[in-house]
Amino acid sequence: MLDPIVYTPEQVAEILQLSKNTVYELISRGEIIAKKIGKVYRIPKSSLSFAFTGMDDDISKAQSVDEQNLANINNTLKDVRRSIWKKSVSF
Amino acid sequence: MEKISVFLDTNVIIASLLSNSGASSQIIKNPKLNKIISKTVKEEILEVSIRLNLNHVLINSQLDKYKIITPKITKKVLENTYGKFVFDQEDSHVVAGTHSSKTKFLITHNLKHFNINRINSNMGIIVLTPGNFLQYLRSLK
Repeated sequence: MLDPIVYTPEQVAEILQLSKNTVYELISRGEIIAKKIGKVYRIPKSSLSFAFTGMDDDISKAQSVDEQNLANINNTLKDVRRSIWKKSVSF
Repeated sequence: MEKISVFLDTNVIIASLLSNSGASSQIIKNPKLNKIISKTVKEEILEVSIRLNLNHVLINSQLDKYKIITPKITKKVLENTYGKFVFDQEDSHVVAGTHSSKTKFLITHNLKHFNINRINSNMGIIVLTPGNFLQYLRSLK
């Protein structure tokens, strides 16, 4: 499904605390993925993943994959950790 | 480039067994990392994997890839020395294992279980999620 949220280069410059010219340079180098519509650029939220999550989009998605299983893992691990803590004298 | 040593919490290894495309799996498969666990973490992996019905062959082949350390720290030492770095005493062995292994990184999905600022300021250990650590690795390129 398409991400419905897009930004202008000016908004991206503000979010990333860069100059507008730097944003255009990053677009031309392919470091920020943008779509040219007519004469203007629009930048999808996924291109700015780093600004929102501290991670690039692919890494953020990989982290999310793990997090889908985390509740199940944590519940089981909590029980196991408790039983090992109770029975062990050395770790 | 010299291999980077990381201590892995149990949840990272279990997450890697449950998904091939997750951040944990990318860390496990990274040949440039020296992956370390403790004997207690190994014990937890084996017990959790039984309860979650995970593939034993896969688990045993994975365990061969880790350096397994045996800190031999008593419960009392854990409580007195490492208890201040966690919010639940039962997690203290993870911090003790990381400290004993002399690694700079503890990789866990449960940052909230650890007093990460105190761990960093007292022992110089950085606690990160798998995703944040992958981002760090990318920043080195």
